[in-house]
Amino acid sequence: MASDSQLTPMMAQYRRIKSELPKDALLLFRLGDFYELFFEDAQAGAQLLNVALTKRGVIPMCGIPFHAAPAYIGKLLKAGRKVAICEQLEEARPGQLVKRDVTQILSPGTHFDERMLAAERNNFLAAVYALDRRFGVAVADLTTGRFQTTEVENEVVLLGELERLHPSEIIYPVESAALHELLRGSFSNLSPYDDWVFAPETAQFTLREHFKVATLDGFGLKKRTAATGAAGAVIHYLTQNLRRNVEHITSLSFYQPTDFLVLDATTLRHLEILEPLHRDAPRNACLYGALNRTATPMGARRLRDWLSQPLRDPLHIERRQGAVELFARNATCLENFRKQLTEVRDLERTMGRLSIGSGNARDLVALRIGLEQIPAIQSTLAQLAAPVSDSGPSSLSDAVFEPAATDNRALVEELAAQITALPDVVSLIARAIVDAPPLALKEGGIIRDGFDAALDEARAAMRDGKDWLARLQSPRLRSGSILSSDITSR
Amino acid sequence: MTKSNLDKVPAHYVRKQTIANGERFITPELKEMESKILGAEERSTKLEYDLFLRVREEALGSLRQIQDTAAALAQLDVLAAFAETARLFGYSRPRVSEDSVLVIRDGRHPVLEQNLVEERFVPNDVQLDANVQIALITGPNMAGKSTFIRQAALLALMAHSGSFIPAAQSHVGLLDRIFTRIGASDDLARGQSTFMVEMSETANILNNATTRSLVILDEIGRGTSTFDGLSLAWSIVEHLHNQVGAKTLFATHYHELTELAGRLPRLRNFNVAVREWNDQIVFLRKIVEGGTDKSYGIQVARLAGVPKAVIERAKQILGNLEESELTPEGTVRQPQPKPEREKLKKLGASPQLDLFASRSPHGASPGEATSLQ
Repeated sequence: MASDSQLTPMMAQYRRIKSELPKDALLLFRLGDFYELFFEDAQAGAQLLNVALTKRGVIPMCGIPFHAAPAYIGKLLKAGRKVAICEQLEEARPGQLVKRDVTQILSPGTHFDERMLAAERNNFLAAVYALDRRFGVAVADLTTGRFQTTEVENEVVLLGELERLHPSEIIYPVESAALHELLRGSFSNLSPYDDWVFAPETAQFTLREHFKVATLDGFGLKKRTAATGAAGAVIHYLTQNLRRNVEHITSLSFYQPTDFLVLDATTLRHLEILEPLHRDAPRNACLYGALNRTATPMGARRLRDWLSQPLRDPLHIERRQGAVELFARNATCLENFRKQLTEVRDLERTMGRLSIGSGNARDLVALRIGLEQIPAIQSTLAQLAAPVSDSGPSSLSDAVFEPAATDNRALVEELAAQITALPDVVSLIARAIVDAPPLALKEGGIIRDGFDAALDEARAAMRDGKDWLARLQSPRLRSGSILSSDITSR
Repeated sequence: MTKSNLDKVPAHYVRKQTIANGERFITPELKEMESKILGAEERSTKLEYDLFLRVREEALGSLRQIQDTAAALAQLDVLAAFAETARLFGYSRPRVSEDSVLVIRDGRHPVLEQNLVEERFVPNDVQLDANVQIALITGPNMAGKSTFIRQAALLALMAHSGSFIPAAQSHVGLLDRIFTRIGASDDLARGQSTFMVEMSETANILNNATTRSLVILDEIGRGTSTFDGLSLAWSIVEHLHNQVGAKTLFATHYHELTELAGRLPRLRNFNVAVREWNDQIVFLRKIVEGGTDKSYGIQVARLAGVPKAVIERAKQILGNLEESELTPEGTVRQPQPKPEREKLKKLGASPQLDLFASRSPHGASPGEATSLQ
């Protein structure tokens, strides 16, 4: 391998950037219209992507075109690799080295590629930590901001819980050979990570810093050192190792697997709860398929949760039943509500993309449209929970309903109270962003006329210039002495 | 300018470029306007990007509220979906309680019901309570045993999720776990030994199930020899009854197991109603109480299209075998390991302590159980 002094300035830059990355990340180095991989990365990449391995001087290299990059990156993630994206941070100027740096590091459990994400499934990154004969498990879905942690007593329950969660990537302390041995049998995409990050003191510090709280007791983590270790490691891994923005992870919930009806992986599979047993069976030939009449992807993801983690507390079950009965008895409200919800679409992932910095103007428009439905939804829910709603038309006979111990309205009222309309956000986006903005953020066409004076002025200058050209062209056209087509702005 | 026009070019035009069929010129005022337009363009896209970032920042200021809104809407979405399904398919609201019961009247299979086009789904009842802990369902394959026991588990699970269920009426006592031991076709593909998988799943159930669990067993001991399998199934059922106490639905083709009803007070026999007509059989897919002593295996083979000659020969052999069972020991011509079968029938009560014997009025003492033979 050549020493740095023999390298061109660009290759020296490459070596510097590469040296600061996690060891297992492939560096995609932007060179004009291509992302290039060099050295060992090129050899690995050429094989995984089935592209030609070439040479730049003596250095092995392979490249993927910028415009087709997402598909190639998807392949690398599927193969369980991490991918560091290094961009050019300024316009190229002849004779000068372009400034470059890594803008994000993607991993199987933390990517945002719509083509690889199933809308109705969470994409979880999990952390596992063993401490004092207990196992801490934490999972985060970066696309929605969902973050949960739990503690389990033994290996069997640990594996069962992980199989239920079905994480795309699992981190664990690198020194823990026993955990590696245990997880290796059932899971791929294992990422060993620094031990000290999981240590309770470090993890507590990481979490307190992230949530800006003085104590973690509010999350139910008091004396849950194993769970705390796993949760802290998740945040540390995302922010330090992958350099990701995790501001939208705004809360952490601790749960006990025994609070729920336990369904191990075998039972989930054999009873065909989430998917059919046989690959070639129709996708709806499972319980989830038969029951999925949700109107949004976030509802679909929640339904999967509810079916794989049913409740064990009769009061909580009855609260849900109450809400179902209210909806079932009021056909008008039910129909209106489902129609209004359709427009809300995937509010969770929209916010995920916007807060992680990968969102574009279309996400803002989706957010506006989603939030615009809220007032109507609120009034539908108010109507639903109104005492008179029982008189609504119903295709279900009264005889089938057992008298409930709880008020049917309790859950609907509680959930309705968590919904906020945010008219200021709606009106800001409506005034600022055009209805059908382009995907690109740096090519204009996003902001409405009349929103910003400076922008209007710049646009007026552009228009004036073009008018001036048009005026310049017209008299000469008429004179006929010179062909007008020869006059252009360039 | 094309070559023909070159002589008409005004003096203040500056030559910029020569091309194949002429030359390009630029005027100072054009040059100035060009940079003005380009400058304005650059300024405006930069401004747009900054404005986008500002609007995004502003929206993210309400991140927490939007997340809470989304979470509430996601839950309401599921509740409304449950209601929609309940309306479409006539589900009812199950009664849930802490009682130790699983009672379902006219239950239907939620998935099959929606996928069956011609056939109407035949509803079935389930009744597990203090008196009936284990339901043993015998009958041939294809008759709907597996569907029935899976259906019971699915309806219990749905009730715990807050959904209504496809049944006329139901009472579901809260469960801590649902265990299943069902055919291992998918594990075969992974190259594991079927019987080993079967037994490790069974071990998991026997070690971890409680009186609050629901256990679904679809055939036990198929991966080994008949008598190994039968013996294991027999002792597993005894253990579930006497030690574990979990509510159990057990579908099996070992009709010998129906004898257990005489020994285990909280075990009931069920079978799939069958109509026999001129040596033909029709499965009514209705589960009814009572054991069955016929397996209908040969009839199923005929339904599956096994050649007539093979069917006839099988009937002949079966006839011989059945006769031989009636003959006293020692005079059997067939290679039937008769002694084991007989020994099994003569087996006394399990050596394990019956946890429920003292509480159950139907409890048979080991002596009584043997005397029933």
